Amino acid sequence: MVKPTAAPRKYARLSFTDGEIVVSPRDRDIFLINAEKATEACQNAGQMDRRIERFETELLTPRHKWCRANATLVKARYIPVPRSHIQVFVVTNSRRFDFDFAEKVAALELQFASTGWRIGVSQLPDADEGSLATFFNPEGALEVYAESGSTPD
Amino acid sequence: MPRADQHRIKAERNRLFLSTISVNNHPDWVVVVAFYTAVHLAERLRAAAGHGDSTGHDDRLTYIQLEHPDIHTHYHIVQNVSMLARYQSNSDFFNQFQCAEIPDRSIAQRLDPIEEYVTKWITR
Repeated sequence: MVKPTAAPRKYARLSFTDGEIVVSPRDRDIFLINAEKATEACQNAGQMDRRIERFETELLTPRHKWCRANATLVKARYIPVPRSHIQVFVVTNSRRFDFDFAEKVAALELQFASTGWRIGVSQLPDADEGSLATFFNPEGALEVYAESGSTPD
Repeated sequence: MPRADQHRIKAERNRLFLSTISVNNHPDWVVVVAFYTAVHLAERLRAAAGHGDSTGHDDRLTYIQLEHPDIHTHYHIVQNVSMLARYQSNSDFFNQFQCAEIPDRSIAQRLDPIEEYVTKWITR
């Protein structure tokens, strides 16, 4: 009997436990590539080990806290493999574009930019997988759900 | 490399075109033209300061973040709305936006302040 194999996942899913980032072994390589590319897009990138630490402590963790603080609005966020610029897509729970929330997204973007990150953060209203692919290549992207319980298996 | 006054003329022509578009019929084009008006306003700032040309949308956004944070929120929102208009299906866009809110929330509250800021900055 042929053992069924799981369909390959496009995204590397991150989760947080007690404020710490949890990366499954199967997603570790994608995470490291993403972190390296992201820190290349940062001024004063520094050494590789310090880069990963900066990616986690200066970008991922504060962004996760921000998403938790806005959890009623935010469904998930995606970070495609960065090039010269880090692009973050914040997917909301609403089908409508929220102009008030857009001000918060802009403030978050400016906060990261002021600390040397070349970054853009965009709001995507309740985008499904097909819509997401319109905006970025899902291969190698990081996926983080705002509420840990909402992460699909 | 276009000069600051050439970007001013482009922005003014885009603005003139914007005033001719029916928001009820083409709300998506209203926000796209608003964005490209903002693009030339940003490039006008850059040229006037002797900072050269932006290499793309990302580079221009970084420039606004670092050099003109006072208009960053306005520019960011116009860019975000325009991105949705340009790359999504019409049905998605019409589900996400009401035609009636676009003139106020994308133009009056966002593009107008960028124009005012640029005019003041250039003539300061």
